[in-house]
Amino acid sequence: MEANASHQAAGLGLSAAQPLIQVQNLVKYYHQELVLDNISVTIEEGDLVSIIGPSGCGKSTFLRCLNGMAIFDIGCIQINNITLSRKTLDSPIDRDFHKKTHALRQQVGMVFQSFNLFFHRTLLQNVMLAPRIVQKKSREEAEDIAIRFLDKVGLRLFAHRYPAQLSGGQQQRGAIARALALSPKVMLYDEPTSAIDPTRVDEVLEVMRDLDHEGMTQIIVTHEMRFAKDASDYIIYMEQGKFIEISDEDEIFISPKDERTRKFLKKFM
Amino acid sequence: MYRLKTIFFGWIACISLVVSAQATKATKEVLRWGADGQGGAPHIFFDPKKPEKLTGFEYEIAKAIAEFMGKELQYCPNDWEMLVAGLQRKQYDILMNAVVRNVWRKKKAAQMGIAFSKPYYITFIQATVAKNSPIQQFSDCNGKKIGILKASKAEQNAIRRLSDAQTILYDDEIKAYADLNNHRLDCVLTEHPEALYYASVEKDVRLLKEPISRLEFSIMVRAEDQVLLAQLNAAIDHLKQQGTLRSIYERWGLWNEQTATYFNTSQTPQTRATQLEQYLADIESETSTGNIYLKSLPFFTKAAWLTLRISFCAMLLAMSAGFLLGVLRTYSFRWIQCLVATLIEIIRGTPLMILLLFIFYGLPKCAPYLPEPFSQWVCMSPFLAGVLGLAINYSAYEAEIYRAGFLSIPIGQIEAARALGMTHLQALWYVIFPQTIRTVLPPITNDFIMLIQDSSLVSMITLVELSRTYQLFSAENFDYFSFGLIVVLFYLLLGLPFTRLSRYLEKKLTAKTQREV
Ligand SMILES: Nc1ncnc2c1ncn2[C@@H]1O[C@H](COP(=O)(O)OP(=O)(O)O)[C@@H](O)[C@H]1O
Ligand SMILES: [Mg+2]
Repeated sequence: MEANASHQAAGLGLSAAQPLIQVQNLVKYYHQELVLDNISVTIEEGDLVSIIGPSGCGKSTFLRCLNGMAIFDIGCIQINNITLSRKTLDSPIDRDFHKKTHALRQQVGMVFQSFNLFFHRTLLQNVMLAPRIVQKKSREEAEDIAIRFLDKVGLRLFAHRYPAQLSGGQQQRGAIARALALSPKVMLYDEPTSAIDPTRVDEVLEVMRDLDHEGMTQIIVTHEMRFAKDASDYIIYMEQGKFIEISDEDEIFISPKDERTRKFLKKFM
Repeated sequence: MYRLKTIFFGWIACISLVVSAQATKATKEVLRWGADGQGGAPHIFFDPKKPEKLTGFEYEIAKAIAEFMGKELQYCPNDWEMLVAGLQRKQYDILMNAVVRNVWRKKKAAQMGIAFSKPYYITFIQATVAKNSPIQQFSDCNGKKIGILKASKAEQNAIRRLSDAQTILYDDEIKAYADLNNHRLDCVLTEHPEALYYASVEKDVRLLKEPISRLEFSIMVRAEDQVLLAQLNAAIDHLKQQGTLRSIYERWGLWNEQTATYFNTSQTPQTRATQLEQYLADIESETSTGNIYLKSLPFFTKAAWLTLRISFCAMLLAMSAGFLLGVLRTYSFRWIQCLVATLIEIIRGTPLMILLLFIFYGLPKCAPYLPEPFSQWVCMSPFLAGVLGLAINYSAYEAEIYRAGFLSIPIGQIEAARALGMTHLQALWYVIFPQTIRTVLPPITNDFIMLIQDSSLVSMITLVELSRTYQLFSAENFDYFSFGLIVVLFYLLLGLPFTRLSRYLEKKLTAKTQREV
């Protein structure tokens, strides 16, 4: 009790110094295969971070660990004062752990490559659903929120369409609005533009830029090198479960420190 | 969200409505009489001229007995082969339908817990042959083809007295006599009353003069109902003395030497066999004028309503139970999944008919071993048993449809719901289930049409629904063709709205959730 109280007091008192996201020594296996290899990273509030790297290197898995969709084996994740930690491989996954995971998800919004809007509901209903049943908001309140965020992503006129009646870019912007409606502290994007017609990619990237200007903390796994270069505060190059290189803005494109990063980027440039 | 709730409560309301419509209350004390009225002339059958009216010599006797006992007669129809089982499961209290007491061994009867009254009628086995057949007496039947009814112990015993003969078993008399007429058989053995009524319809047959065996018709009761048995014996004595029985037999053309000897009276009849004459005349005129087809329509309508009610209740139950099974099969713990999968396999491997017979006749056998409420529940009404049997059978199929539906929803849908902070249950309830319902409703509605047809099997457990009504009318009037057309029309009318509904749902539910082309 006491330790907990003092810890919280410290968190509140030093809120400026305390980073929003802290990941320490994260390790994750899938069937004996090491997918995340001792990853540590600190992300400040308002940062826009891009993660790049070859496919299969563990980018998605890292994001999924951050919102509790995948359970890591060893390490510690702290987001906005919610701490998930597992000391050893056989630390129990108990009720307390699940409760914290649940709390964590409310702080973290996630956007998928394949949008995953609910087919059987209109765009408006898609956005309203989670505020209604997860945050127990009233119908009117949820509708207000939904309209506001649909407006923000430029889809107010499409509120009563079903997902099947929208283009890929529109669906993805809808999915962003749906995640924002829960007012998360962090937004995670897993290749948000990979399934979208190249001519419509920009409308999605524009939304993320806007959010960045408003101070939203965002982590984006992407193959859009130009966007990563222009918009990110810093870029992480990942390979074989490790963060090989973390570098400021476009430095990584001009003079990558690591040989592996150079090789990877050569394919894109 | 509330759409689901509306469906749920609507569902409850439907079930209770249909079940309460079924519940009936007895007012006056009744004598429940089990018999098979299908092709039952002259014992008990529906008057060919007025199909709503029961008639027959055993019907008249049963009414006279009930009147003597101060009770109201209630006719409980059952399949001929199931009559004894129905008595044992207390579906009725007396069984009077050409029960031949002297073919039952005492030990066997005691084992089955049944007892017999005094005989109320004595008759014999009648051999019927083609008009120009060389057969003059029963012993000439050696080496010939003989047709008898399926559950006819006395006739089988009689055939055993021949050194060799080929026996062919029939469901009903009509088909046996038709085959005799077509020269597929050399001889038909039935009880004398049947021969009198059914053989006479065929033109080219002849009854042998010689009476074979002695058949004593008695009333069967459960062995523990000793008081009832004494009352029945008193009633038979009374009706014998009053001459009521004799007059019934004479009117039906059934008065014979054997019964006369048993009654200690003279053999010559005092009145004309008016009922027999009437019957033969009616069969001729009603089918030829087409009158009977019109008159049968209210019966088919009533039967269709029963078929619809049973199918509807069974389907609602099957849909919900199937949903539950489907959910458990797909989303529960591994060992529950295995359990449910096994259960589904067992149900799908069991023929529906066996399931129905088991529930209706088998389950009541465990009643003595069960505690209070259960021992009553297992003896359920035919309606409930029918609904339950159909529902269990179909729930297994529906479960598989639901499961396929669940698995067809992309995994991303659940992931998105979970990422939005929903619990697993919330994700299922708000995202997976509504999407699944949309994909499975059309095939489930389709299944309902199959269920309507399968519901014909509940005729096995005493329910007079469409298919049983068809059998009744066609056996009574020797016409499987015209009544066949009528019954097919009724099944079509029942199924058609649901075929349309299935199409409509398919269009309506998927319209907005699929890309237009
Ligand atoms: N659910 C899973 N079960 C087993 N292995 C998985 C699962 N998800 C990912 N992996 C494995 O983990 C590794 C990293 O996958 P992922 O994080 O999806 O890579 P990326 O997103 O960088 O392409 C891959 O080798 C993949 O095969
Ligand atoms: Mg990936």
